[in-house]
Amino acid sequence: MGRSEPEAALPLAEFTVVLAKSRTEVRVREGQTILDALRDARVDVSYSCEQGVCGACEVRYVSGDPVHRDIVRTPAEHDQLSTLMICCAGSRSKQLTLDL
Amino acid sequence: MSNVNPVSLLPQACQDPVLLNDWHVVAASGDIVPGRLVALTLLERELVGWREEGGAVHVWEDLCIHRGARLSKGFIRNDRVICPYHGWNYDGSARCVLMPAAPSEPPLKRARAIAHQTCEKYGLVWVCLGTPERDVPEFPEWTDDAYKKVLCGPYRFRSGFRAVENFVDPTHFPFVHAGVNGILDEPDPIAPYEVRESPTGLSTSEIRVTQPFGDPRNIPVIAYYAYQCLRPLVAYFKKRVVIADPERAAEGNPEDRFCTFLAAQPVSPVESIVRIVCAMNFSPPPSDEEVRLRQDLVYAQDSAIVDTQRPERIPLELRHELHHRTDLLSQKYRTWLRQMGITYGTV
Repeated sequence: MGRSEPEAALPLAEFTVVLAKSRTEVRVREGQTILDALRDARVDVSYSCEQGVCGACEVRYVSGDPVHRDIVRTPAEHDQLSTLMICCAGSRSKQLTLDL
Repeated sequence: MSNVNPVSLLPQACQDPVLLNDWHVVAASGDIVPGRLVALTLLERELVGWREEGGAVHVWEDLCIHRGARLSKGFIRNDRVICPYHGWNYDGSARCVLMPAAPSEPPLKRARAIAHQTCEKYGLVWVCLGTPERDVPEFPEWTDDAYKKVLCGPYRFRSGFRAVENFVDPTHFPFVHAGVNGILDEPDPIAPYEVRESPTGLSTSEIRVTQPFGDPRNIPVIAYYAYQCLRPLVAYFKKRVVIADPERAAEGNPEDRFCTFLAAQPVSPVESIVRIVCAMNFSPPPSDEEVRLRQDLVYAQDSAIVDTQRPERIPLELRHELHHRTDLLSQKYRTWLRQMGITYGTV
């Protein structure tokens, strides 16, 4: 089906996730996933597989430049839908604003 | 009113408005015939169903307001339900029309059976314990004469939600229904599909699977399932079936469809009764017996596995079980139930 295994975690520098609806900022440290950071901050989010194959943790983003590493959608689909999977997506931008 | 309703004194099992105000199937129409009282259970509420000679069907609390005896242990005479304890007579309006111990007095004004809203659709009896917020879901093939309809079941399951989720899951076919709805040694990879949510529920784009005996004609087919979750305990699929062997294509036609409308009666959080109505436009149509034989096999295979799932109550938080993208519809089903505020029968 032309879908490859999820990419190994890229060594991305830390970045900040901004939660647009709850007006909160959460720092995602190097080696952490967005999901890890949100859980640490006690933000209630949906998730299941934690490796980018189920799609349960998909959220919309409002701004920023995410790096997609899931196999549920292609990066092009994510760009079109403004979505990302918080269990494995990284960020090229210093800030990523989520619709949460 | 509530302070004189003896049912309000009983512990209420289900508190979820969305389930209380929904229509649920409690019987097939043919199960409730004139002259007989039928004990039914819905959301742990004990009910009695009966039918007047003229055809009207009634579903009441299975309890006489006088001393709380079970009306279903009584009998019917002249279109009246007679309580087995002191013989109070209730007519089709649920009013007590005779107290035999005081036959010349008008019965007490508050002496009424506790009636629930009831209707019949698709050969099934539907009941709402609260105030219906919508109609019984649509089953378009029911009124389409091109489709033969066959009622199958009842099939006993533990969790009704797990039974519905299983009904809308195409990835179990090669294993649970090996040699029937799928091939054990050649399970189909499931291509990405879409799930849409609308006021009438969830619906999918077509999902392609290979079925060695995919319908009562017993011809290998490629089937394209389009699923719908219409209500928490009502689901439906329409499958387009294409005969796999081009040389046998003449045995079918491009318009061939097989549909199933499924309703699960929630008896308790971990007991349910599944009834299905199959609709197909094959020519020549299979016999009722052929359709039932196949469905009896498939649903027995389903319940043998589904009833082993633990926890028995479906977990609605996705993190509590492991999902894959090919489980997209079950992920959306659970999230949909959670957003509706369903707690009964879930963890």
